[in-house]
Amino acid sequence: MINLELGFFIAKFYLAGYFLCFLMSYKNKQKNLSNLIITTIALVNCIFNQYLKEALGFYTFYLGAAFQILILLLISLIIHLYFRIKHKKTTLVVYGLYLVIAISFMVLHRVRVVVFDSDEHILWLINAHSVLTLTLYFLSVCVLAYGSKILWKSQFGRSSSLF
Amino acid sequence: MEIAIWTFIVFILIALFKTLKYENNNAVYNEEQLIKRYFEIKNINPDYRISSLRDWEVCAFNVLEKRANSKTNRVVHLKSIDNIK
Repeated sequence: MINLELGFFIAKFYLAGYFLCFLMSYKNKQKNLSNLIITTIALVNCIFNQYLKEALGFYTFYLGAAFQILILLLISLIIHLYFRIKHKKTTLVVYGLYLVIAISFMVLHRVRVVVFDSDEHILWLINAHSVLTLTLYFLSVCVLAYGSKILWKSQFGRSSSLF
Repeated sequence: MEIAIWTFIVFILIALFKTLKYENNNAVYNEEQLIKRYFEIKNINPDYRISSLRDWEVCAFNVLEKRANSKTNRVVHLKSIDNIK
């Protein structure tokens, strides 16, 4: 497992990153509303997660994490359909990253609870998995920032004036 | 419980692909916005589309008249559309 202090630092760092992405995409909401929706839900999930992970026990920890990510995707899909907002490519990339994270959570849950029933023998796997998920979360933050910023230049003129 | 989550993953994948297939029909999403945009332009300049058509008619008429005299310039210049920014 990672050090607790390092873990809390990483959590704060990612929360700040999501919050910055939220502010940037709120400024850019007229051009890329899809990015604002996914960022808002991810930020709410990120904050709610800090309270939820204390309530989950050994047997439901990774299961709950996977369930949370899938609920996030479902809420985002429902909002997009209800308000008739079209998905942007960056949002779809974030969906893909989150699906990979959810599947990895499920695989780790299967290995930890059903096969070994303890953390002692598979500490290396849990470490590797945490590195993988944190990398994917960092990539998702990068994609969200890219999606909020890519369309700013089109606020100053239509595309016909660029050519 | 795990089987439920795996089915949930499959369900969300299916929902995602269905949504993307539905969104691929651009007309459903763009029609309302196009109509709104049309009425915005109408409110700003009621003569907008008619004036551009009139310009095009004048240009086409000039081109047809000059075609007998010169063979080089056969391009119809759309003045009102060229200046759109």
